[in-house]
Amino acid sequence: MSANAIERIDAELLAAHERSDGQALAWLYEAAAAFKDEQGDVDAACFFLTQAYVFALEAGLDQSAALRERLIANGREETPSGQIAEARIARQPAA
Amino acid sequence: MNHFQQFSLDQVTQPVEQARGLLNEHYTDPVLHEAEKQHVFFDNWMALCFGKDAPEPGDAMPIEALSQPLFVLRGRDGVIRVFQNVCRHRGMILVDKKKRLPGVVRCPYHSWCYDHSGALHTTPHVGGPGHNTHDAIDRASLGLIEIRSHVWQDIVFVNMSGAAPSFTDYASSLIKRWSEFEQPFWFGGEESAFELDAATNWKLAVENYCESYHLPWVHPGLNSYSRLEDHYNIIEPGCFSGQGTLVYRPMLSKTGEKFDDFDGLGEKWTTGAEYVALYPNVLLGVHRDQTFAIILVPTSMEQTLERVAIYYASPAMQDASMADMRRRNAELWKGVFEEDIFVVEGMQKGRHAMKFDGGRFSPVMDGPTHAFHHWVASQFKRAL
Repeated sequence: MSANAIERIDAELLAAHERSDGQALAWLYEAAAAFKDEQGDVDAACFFLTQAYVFALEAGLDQSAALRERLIANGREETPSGQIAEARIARQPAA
Repeated sequence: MNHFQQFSLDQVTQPVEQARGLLNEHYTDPVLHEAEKQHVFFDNWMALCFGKDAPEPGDAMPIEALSQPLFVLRGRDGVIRVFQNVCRHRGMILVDKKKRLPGVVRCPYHSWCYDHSGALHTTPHVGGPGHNTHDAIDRASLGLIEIRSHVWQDIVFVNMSGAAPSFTDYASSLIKRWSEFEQPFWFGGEESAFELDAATNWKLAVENYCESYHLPWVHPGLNSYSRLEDHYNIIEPGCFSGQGTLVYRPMLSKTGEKFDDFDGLGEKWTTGAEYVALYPNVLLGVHRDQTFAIILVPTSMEQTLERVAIYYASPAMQDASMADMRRRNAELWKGVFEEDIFVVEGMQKGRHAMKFDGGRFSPVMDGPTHAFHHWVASQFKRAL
């Protein structure tokens, strides 16, 4: 993903926040997560995946289930039974 | 509660022949108003709103109920639930306006998300950026605080304390009395709902609604066919009181059309209708062809919003072809209720008269009003 593409996502995210467009926010944050995945930055990818997940949940989008699965797989979200997946990675140190 | 107040409550709970009404302070004193919130409203089943206010799955509506922030949500399962309108995280208001929620309830502050049953669904970044869990955050114990609720006749009742008997126990005598109306009914739509705002304490609206004594003086138009002697008192101590009429006449259009009747009603309802206040704050009317409810919203100690909704006996009554009749019917009721405004506002002004002693009751005509005073006084006495 090029720098121009990232700038475009940023601009579109701001515009989507401005108009409270949950569906667009979910897709745009997922795209941002993909970019961070490409760079191998798991923490940043999970940050954007979380953003995408929340807006997908709020908008009632089907993609929320897949986003949740990805977060669970990275140990960042509870399973439906309330467990954390074994693949869990170290949390950020407390501020 | 001091001895004087105890004495005054004892005066209210005397038999109607000897009783005096609630003292001025019950209508004008902010201290008693605060106590009333707890003892009269929160400890009992107060009417909060109508089911028609959230007609579709996902519909949410915030309500300030006597300063308590709540919201009503009709879940995807079609069930109406009432929640405290604050996030379990930092106490932020969750629902700021009436809206339809296609998905979860998301707190606008840090985006903690709750499903339609109130369960905490996710806690984004709670364990740091991109980490949505933390051992200290037990989602199972951090769902929304649900307020005990019950829907009857499309009215959403809540018991804030959670300690009252079940609604069906509390209102069993009225449910039984009007059991013939326990059948499907349909809201008449936008022209069948209206609001009136009155500069009065909510109790005066109840007191006025309960009795027929004032009809020939305040509603002379009604008196032309519904005479005072055609009415009777209805008193169920501790629950409801009001009046009935023996001469209800359904509305006819210019071409002779009328609203459909409810199915299978007994002979009593051919010409009869009843109007009662279910304590504390809902006024109800039932007729062979329509019912209505008035929810009294005490917006302050001396201000009351009356929310009125009219319901009909068949879905055909919702048809556009009936809109004119529905509109005329609503205008008729609105005109009657507006005639009462000067009375309830006048009595509120009168409650500032320092030598008014609560007044007296006609043993024959004011029994339903005294029954309401007795109930209110009993709520305070119970808390002593």
